[in-house]
Amino acid sequence: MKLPVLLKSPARAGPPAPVELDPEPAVRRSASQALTAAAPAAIFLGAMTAGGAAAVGLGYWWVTPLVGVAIGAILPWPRLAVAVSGLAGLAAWAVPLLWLAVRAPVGQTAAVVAAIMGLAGVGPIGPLAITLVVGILLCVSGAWVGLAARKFIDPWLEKEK
Amino acid sequence: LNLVASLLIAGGLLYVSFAGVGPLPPLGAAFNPGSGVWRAATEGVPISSRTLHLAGLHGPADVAFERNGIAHIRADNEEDLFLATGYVHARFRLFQMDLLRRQSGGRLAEVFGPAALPVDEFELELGLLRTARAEWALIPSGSEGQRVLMAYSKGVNDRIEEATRDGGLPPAFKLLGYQPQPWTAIDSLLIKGDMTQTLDFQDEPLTSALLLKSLGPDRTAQWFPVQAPNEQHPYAPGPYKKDAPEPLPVQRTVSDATAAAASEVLDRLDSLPDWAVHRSSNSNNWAVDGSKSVTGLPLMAGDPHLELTLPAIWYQVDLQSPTYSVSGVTIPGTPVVVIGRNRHISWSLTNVQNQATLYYKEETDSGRPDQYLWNGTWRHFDHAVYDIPVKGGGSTRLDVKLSVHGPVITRQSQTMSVAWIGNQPSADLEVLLRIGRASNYGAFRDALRAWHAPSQNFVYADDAGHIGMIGAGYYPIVRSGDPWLPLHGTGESDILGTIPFDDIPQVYDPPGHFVFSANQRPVGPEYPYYIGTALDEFDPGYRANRIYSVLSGPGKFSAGDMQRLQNDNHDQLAIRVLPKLVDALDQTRLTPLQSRAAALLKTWDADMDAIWAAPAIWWTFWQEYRELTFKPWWDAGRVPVSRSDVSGALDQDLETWTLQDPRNSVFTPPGAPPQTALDVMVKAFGAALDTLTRQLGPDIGTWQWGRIHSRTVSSLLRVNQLSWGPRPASGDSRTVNAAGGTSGPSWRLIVDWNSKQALGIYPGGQSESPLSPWYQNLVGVWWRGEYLPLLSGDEARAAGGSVSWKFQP
Repeated sequence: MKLPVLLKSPARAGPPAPVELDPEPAVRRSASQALTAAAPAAIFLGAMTAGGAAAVGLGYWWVTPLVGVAIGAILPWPRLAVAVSGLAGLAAWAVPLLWLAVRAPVGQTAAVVAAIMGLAGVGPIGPLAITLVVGILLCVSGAWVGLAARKFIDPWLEKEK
Repeated sequence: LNLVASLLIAGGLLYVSFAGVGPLPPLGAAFNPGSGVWRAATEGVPISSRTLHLAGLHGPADVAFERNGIAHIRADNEEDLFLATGYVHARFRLFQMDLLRRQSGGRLAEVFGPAALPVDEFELELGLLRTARAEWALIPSGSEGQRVLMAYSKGVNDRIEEATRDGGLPPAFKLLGYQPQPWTAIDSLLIKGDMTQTLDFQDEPLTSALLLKSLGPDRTAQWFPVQAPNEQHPYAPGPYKKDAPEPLPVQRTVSDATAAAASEVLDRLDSLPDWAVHRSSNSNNWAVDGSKSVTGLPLMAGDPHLELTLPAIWYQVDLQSPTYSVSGVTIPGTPVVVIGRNRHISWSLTNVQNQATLYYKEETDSGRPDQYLWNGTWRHFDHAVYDIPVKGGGSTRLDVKLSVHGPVITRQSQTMSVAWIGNQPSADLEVLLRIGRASNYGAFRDALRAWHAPSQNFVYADDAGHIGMIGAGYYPIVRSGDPWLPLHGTGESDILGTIPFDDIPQVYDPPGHFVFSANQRPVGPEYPYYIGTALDEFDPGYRANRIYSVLSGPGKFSAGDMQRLQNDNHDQLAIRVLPKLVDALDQTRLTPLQSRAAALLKTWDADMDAIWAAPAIWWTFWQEYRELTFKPWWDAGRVPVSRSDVSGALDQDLETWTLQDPRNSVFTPPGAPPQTALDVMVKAFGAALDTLTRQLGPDIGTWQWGRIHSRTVSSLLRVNQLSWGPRPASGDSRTVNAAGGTSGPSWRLIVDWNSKQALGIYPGGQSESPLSPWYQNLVGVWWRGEYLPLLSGDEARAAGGSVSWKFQP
């Protein structure tokens, strides 16, 4: 997949481009280009999240940090990458849980797990919170790795270009 | 640096998610919605009919589940039948099974951490694992016993593989962060050994040694005699085949070293879970023949009393193959029906309570390390070395010393070893297989010849009109010495053998037309062998006496009468002693509160009903009466034994002296003015009312027994939210409906050989999953004193709401 803009962080894109005499058309051009480029990126991210959710639903929960790595590698802005990966982790773990809840008593299960863990005072919210936080943390930690790896990926991409 | 830091954090998080750290479970593996604990939610959905492929099956098999979860398993041959049974057990009770084998095999610390290490060390010292291995080695290759155990293990392993593959392991495995190891035949034998320990491992000789040391020989002999002093009804009253032996001389002293060793071992035993030592009485069973039955054919009833847990110790099944057709209850982890019926006979068990544990003081010499004197020769101890894995801490090495008598269980004080019948291989599973196939008393009795431990009273009834009772098991006979105390280990007190099978307590078609046992001493004083003392080994006899008084009465009985007797809440001790108490109160000037309480007792029929105040007054009175009588002696002698540990023996003494010897010197505390039983009773009555006023308030009308007496069916993991109760409960520990706090009738069975119908119920449910509709669905039925019919497989399959699983090779 070709992601020409988003794969390059502005801070790390090499020497600055020559100053345009008329910046307005350039701005308009880059916004339009960015939007055009963001669509496949968003689709990619959505697909990654959906794939992550499906994998988690099948028990391959360790796919979650890999989704995070991909998000970190794709999104050049750290804050955005963290936020998106957090949401992706949440979705990847919450969606299968919601799907299970349609068919089986997830709330009761949470209460039982809380009791076994000695968290009866916290109630069913305890295991639910642990679950979602674990999903988020795994994905965000993966995104951090992805972001950090860009330092090594970007020069390689530049060279390829 | 950023990359390194990110990799470290992400790697650490992944590690915790895969493996867990400290008390944290593996977070990813445990909590992911696909294969983690959430998978257990599917247990909350009723199961549906399906077809399964089980490796190891020779042909098709199937199981039909009644609406309430009772399983009916059917196969064309026995191996497939027990393979399917193993699968079904593991499908619904895998964590319980794993916990039981870990408990008896000394592997709890591996999953629970260092806190469980003392239990593991004790279990490995005691030797259930050594015994299970020895039993497995003794089972002939290719024998039926071996084939059944192997088939059963295969079925369990089929389920372990399936659950591991599809994430269906119970949540406790995931939260503890481990996967079950494959099941082996030795695991099944371990679980059998665990039951033997619960029922037969005793500490009374150690208690006796401390009583002798502190109370002195005369009082110990008087208060804790071999023959209980109160009125009892043995089920095998004689005449017996041999003459009574010469009375054994009473040992006058216990050395300081022996007392110290006894204290050390008792301290260790006190720190162990309740199941590790047998401390209470268990179970009722009885049968009446056709002349006492309204139907003209026998009625049989049985209710083993055990710790009540969720999941229960029992899993109810109906097993059908061309050669084995038995309904009843099994212990998950073992393949055969323990209590039940086939097409011709029925049986149920109570604990014999004979002395099954002997302690030996080994003669050692600091100049001869690792040796002991036996039969005039210094011998080296044998050693069994175990590496106990400990969660989060590698492993701990345990070196168990073994003398000819058994494992050494002291560490600091005098070297003391223990010999108990649970260390003798016993072919119980094969015996139960043979019983399941028996069609008459001869075959039933013949099968029991090989039953050694735990010693059990097997009640029997059949469709030909016969009834019987056999106290099967080992009854150790020692060469010399007092077996109720620690014995000399130098050889002169070794076990010579056991009472011959033909001489053990047994009765067949007795002239009274009924048989019964409730852990009372099964034989009378003329019985020619020593089998134990009154010190809490045998029950004081109150349940047995109640059963005797009902069954020996006029009239004939129906299955409904059997139900009522199993749920009977009359306290036989109250029936006997209450008139004396009322007499004493009539001769005393009472306060208004005391008068009201006395009036309640006068009109009370000794029914320990939860809604009445009289049972609360009676029960509290008796506790105070026992305390006021014995506490001064305990204080004077600085007796290092809890009175509650010997309360059964003290109750029989107090009952006897109250009724027959009210001027006994025991009622006069050391150095106090003379008192009689009546004086102490009146004081105890006042003290009881003071206690109840403090506990329940001044209004006697609100002193319902159920406010101070409850019943709980605890979850196996001791999690209150997953337990049933506590609920205000009728009955007490002396009633036929034995109602201790967390123990009681763990299974009730009634068989009517005229209609060939059986009824049964246990407090629990077939599934160990708290989410399952079958987790505790049977408790309510049990609590109400109701029963469910033991349906045949065909009846179950025809019944509405049943679900079938078909098993294919």
